[in-house]
Amino acid sequence: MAEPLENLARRLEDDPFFLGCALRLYTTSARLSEQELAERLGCPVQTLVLLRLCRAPKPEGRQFQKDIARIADTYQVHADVLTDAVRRGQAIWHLRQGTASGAGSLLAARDSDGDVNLEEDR
Amino acid sequence: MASPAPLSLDEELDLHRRLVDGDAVAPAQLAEVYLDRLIDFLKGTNDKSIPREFIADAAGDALVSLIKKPASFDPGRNSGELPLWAYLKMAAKRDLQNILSKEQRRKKKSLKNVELSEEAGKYLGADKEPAMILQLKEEAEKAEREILTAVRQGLSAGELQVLDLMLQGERKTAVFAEALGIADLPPSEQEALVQRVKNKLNKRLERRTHG
Repeated sequence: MAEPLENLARRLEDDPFFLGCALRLYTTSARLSEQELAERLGCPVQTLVLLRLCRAPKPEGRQFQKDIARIADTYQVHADVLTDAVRRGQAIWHLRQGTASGAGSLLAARDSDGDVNLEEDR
Repeated sequence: MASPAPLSLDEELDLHRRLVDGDAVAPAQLAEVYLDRLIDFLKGTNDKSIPREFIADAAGDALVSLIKKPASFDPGRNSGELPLWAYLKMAAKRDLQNILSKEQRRKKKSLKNVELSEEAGKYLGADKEPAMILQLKEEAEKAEREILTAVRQGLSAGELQVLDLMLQGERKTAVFAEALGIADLPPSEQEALVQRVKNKLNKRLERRTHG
């Protein structure tokens, strides 16, 4: 299964429609490896590919809980960890877009991506 | 993990209904069932020389389009045993055509600054003076070598590889990222860094070409 699905999931990591976007922002912020994320969620690493391809939970309160429960139940992951990861990931995304996050979101951890510096051509 | 079995008509319609209803796991299930099958379908119905990545991208594009606009598929208007599968195959074929057309246009554009123009031959009466055309071609090739030698000066090993890839018409970000040694970064960062290097090299090429 792995390669095409994994490649597709990675392609969509910048698309906030998919859960993979929030998960990527969360893992980068928390400096987690794939393995560590899987351990926290309580699932095999292979399950992460399918999680990434789920629709991101809608931010509105009741629907958010419903979506989290659906995803957690289907893929047997810890709902509380998933909730935390999605909230943080979505908050980081909104901060980057320059918009305020909705009520009930956690404050985003400071996100420090590794920078590869290239000299500009003069 | 083995691919799940193909869906029955009822299962297809149920999956589509859940997409429409916004079931959070339906997109992942759609991709899991159909991505490999779409890739195999496109491979089997197209020229073997088409890069595997184009095929995979087209299959992915078809699925993402349906995921984001599930109402674009109307079970009532699509007949046949497995209408959703038929719809996805058509969408993937169309997406592959779009990718191939884009690639054609990109290649034409990237060649236009270094190729000898056919028009120059006409103005010089090419049909009457083939020797002059050959001379012009040699001068153009020599100018190209001199331009590229100047452009290459001072570039890092990774940047040199990127330049060669650009001149060969490479399109995929992943290949450029590999050349720059940044393949382990997230795709969005790879894209941004690759684009910075390409912009730098294009500036150099323009300066040398136009003086």
